Amino acid sequence: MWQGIETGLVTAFSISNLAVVVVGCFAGTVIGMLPGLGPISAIALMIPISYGLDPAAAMILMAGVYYGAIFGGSTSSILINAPGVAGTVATTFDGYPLARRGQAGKALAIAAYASFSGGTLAALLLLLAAPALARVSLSFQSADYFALMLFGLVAVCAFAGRGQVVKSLLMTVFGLMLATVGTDPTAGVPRFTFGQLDLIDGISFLLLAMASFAVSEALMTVLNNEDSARQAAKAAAAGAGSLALSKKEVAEIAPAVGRSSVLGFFVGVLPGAGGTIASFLAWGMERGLARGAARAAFGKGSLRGLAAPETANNAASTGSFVPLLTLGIPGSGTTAVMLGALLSFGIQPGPRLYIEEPAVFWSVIISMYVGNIVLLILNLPLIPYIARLLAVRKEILVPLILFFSLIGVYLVSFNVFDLWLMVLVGVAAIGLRLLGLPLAPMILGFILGDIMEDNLRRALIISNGSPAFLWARPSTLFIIVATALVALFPLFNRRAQAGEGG
Amino acid sequence: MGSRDRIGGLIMLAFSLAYGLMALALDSSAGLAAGGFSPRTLPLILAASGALLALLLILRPPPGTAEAPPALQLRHLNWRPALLLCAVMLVYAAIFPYLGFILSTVIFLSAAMVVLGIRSPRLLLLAVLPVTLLLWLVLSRLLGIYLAPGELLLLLAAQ
Repeated sequence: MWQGIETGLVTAFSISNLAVVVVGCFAGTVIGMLPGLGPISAIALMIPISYGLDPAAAMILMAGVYYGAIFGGSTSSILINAPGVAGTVATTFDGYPLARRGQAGKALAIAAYASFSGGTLAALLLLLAAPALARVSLSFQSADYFALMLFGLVAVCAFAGRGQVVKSLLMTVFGLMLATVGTDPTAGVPRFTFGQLDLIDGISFLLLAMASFAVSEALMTVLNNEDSARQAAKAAAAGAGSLALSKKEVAEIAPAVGRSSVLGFFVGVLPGAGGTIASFLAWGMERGLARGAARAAFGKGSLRGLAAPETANNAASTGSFVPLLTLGIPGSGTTAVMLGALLSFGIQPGPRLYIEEPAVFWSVIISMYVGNIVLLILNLPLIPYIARLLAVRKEILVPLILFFSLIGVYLVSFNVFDLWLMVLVGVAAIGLRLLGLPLAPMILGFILGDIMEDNLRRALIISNGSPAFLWARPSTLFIIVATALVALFPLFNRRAQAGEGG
Repeated sequence: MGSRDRIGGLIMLAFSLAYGLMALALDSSAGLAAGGFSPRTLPLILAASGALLALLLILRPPPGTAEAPPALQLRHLNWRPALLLCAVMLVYAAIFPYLGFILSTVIFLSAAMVVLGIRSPRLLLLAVLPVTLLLWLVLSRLLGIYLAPGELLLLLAAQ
């Protein structure tokens, strides 16, 4: 293990990779700040660039962009009450009131310190948890992997929130269906290609991710006629105020940061839960723990109320790398896009990654930590300047986003057919958005589709076509039972809520 | 709320059924040796689960959440520019092989910005040209990616 860490340190601290982290965090912050564009879009936009890098640098770039995008989302949440990312919605509760009181600088500083602490504690936990989990999962067979992926997909849907469970499951199945387009791996039979040669290799995951996130998010801002540029210009002109925190304020938020880090990390490890749920839980937990005047201040600019979701959100983002790196199973839409990128490098994340590519495994973990430092010392002082970017007019920004998405996909395939397909997918994605059907489970299903079919086939061959593989081994049975329990979670949850609400 | 979910469910049901029918037409003999697993095994499972979930959504639409997205009032949406943008993207795909990277990109970006309401020619030039040229330089000179100059331009040059 130490040898691996050493390799990882050398890789992460090479000049070029440090530069990659800095660029990634910066680009992520800028993109994440733009209302409507979330981390999935930010990462997808980076993928064409990452193809020019080696796998470790590419992962580092994407991890940096991920962090940057979350931090950028916090910035727009605080400054203009427009969370760019679902994970920073809870940040607006107390962050925006602070900014309106002229304490935007303080709020941004707390967001950065809290993210930093959350990221640090979670990176330490990751350092401990990942190798242990990787070792356990080494004994896993196809049947276990199939069961695990089933678990991941079901868990994402079960935690999707009220009224969203069936829709998420449906979209997961839809994503799995899209993954079957192309030549089938068993018999080499083309499936669902409509005789099109361009579809023989299937739909490119980059195309799907770009079209259903970057393109459709950009078009949605046009459809909704959102215009935050003027508001942002006002916020940028008003100035941020002091960034300094007093000792008393630090003492006030420190315990909240500690609690939220641990909570956030473990929520993040659970497939499907992720940053959004973690940040709401942390905010709720701190409000529950607060007494008297401190409690009344929540939602009106409480420092604790701002620190808790920011910490938890970042800790959860780090936690979500645990299943990705050790099991090769992404627990969220964002890590699913990263998995897709890794797969196109020919790297299969999972327990083998820890053994075969220690440089990738450890340098990503270490770079995440470096990313936190970069955000703190580089981005925080620059925020007032970056915030001016928010004032760039939508009329210019949207065409540029569309252009970068189109050309990014084209540069990978050099096939104009992909451009046509992208517009089609983008329009379909808008339709799904308007119907209230979530797209993140779709991309998750799409990326897991091939691996899942592969493992199902192998498991069935080993068990001679009998479904007994699902319960033949204790480890598989355990995961299947866990899947069933998670699948029942929404039912219990509804009953519990009904009981509470009366 | 419920009606929106029903429409979504109906569309997904139709999709699942069509997908299932296409899956049935797939060759199933190829997988007999492989534990009964053929190219259509998974698609059929997926079609069945998709149809089931879609039916569930149609028959028991979930109660509306408190924070329904504001995008619901379809009539209040800004359809014209969004549709025009899609058209501009399609035009981009159509002219790209003929006009090459630089020319088609300049056309695409300017058209998209005009659609969104930018009228000043100076602003258009300032926004479009630097981006196009810079990216072209980075791609073709710095990264050494071959960007085909466009068939029409090649034809003109040949004459």
